[in-house]
Amino acid sequence: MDSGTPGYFEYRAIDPRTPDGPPVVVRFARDLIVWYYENRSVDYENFRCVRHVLDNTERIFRGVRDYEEGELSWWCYTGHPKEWCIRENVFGPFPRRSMVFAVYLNPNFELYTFRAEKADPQQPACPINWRSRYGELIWPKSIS
Amino acid sequence: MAEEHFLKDYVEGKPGFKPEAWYNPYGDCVVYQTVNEAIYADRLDSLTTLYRSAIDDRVIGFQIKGVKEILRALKCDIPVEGTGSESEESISLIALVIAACKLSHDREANKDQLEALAELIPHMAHEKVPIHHAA
Repeated sequence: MDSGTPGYFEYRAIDPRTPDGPPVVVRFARDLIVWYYENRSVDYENFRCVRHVLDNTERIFRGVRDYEEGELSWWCYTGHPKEWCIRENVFGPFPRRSMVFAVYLNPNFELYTFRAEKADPQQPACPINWRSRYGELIWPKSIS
Repeated sequence: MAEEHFLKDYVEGKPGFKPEAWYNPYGDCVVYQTVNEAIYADRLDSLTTLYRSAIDDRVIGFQIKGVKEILRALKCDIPVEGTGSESEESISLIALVIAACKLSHDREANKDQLEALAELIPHMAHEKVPIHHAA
């Protein structure tokens, strides 16, 4: 999927407000992409992991911020990419057992950051301490 | 990974790395990183997250979130530097780190985390963050 809005790359993902309904459009601002390319080239390579997580989402959390503005929610999508860039021109397997890759979206479903997090040993799809860090697990509604 | 990057049409020139602080307007956060390596998050408290190297676990940066709120809450306490033009205003990165620690509602940080954060101070001693997008 390519840009439908000038200045943005757009991609479809599960809409956490209606997970069984149509997907939501997630937007990557061009200036964010360019900033990563010019300033954090390793992270720029890991935009591939962002795409993987949006395509293969394992968990979605709401309430990333302590003080959310009204009904607006900040979102965290998680998943496990197969590999990632660990330093310039060096790629390796993503540590699937100990880490989970987290993609953070603001209330406008604009990407603002992404990174690996230590995984909850009991729930490898969840970042460690997720129950206290996030407001609510949105998708799936229940986990064993 | 030889596959062509799906965002290649959005960038030009050579990719790079600059160990500079940046205010990210999409996340209302400041990020700072000293080394061009993959990172994983290590939560310090409700406002600050350390970036640890995915290669050897050392602390190589951090993210401070809720910057607008920090600036509002501590407007009088944080020295804002500039030449009078709003677009040129910046804040000391160290001042922002201290303000975030002061305002955080929890105190989860342990001694090792604080020492690791302190080790970054020589790197960021003169680092300024342009804040006009956060005003």
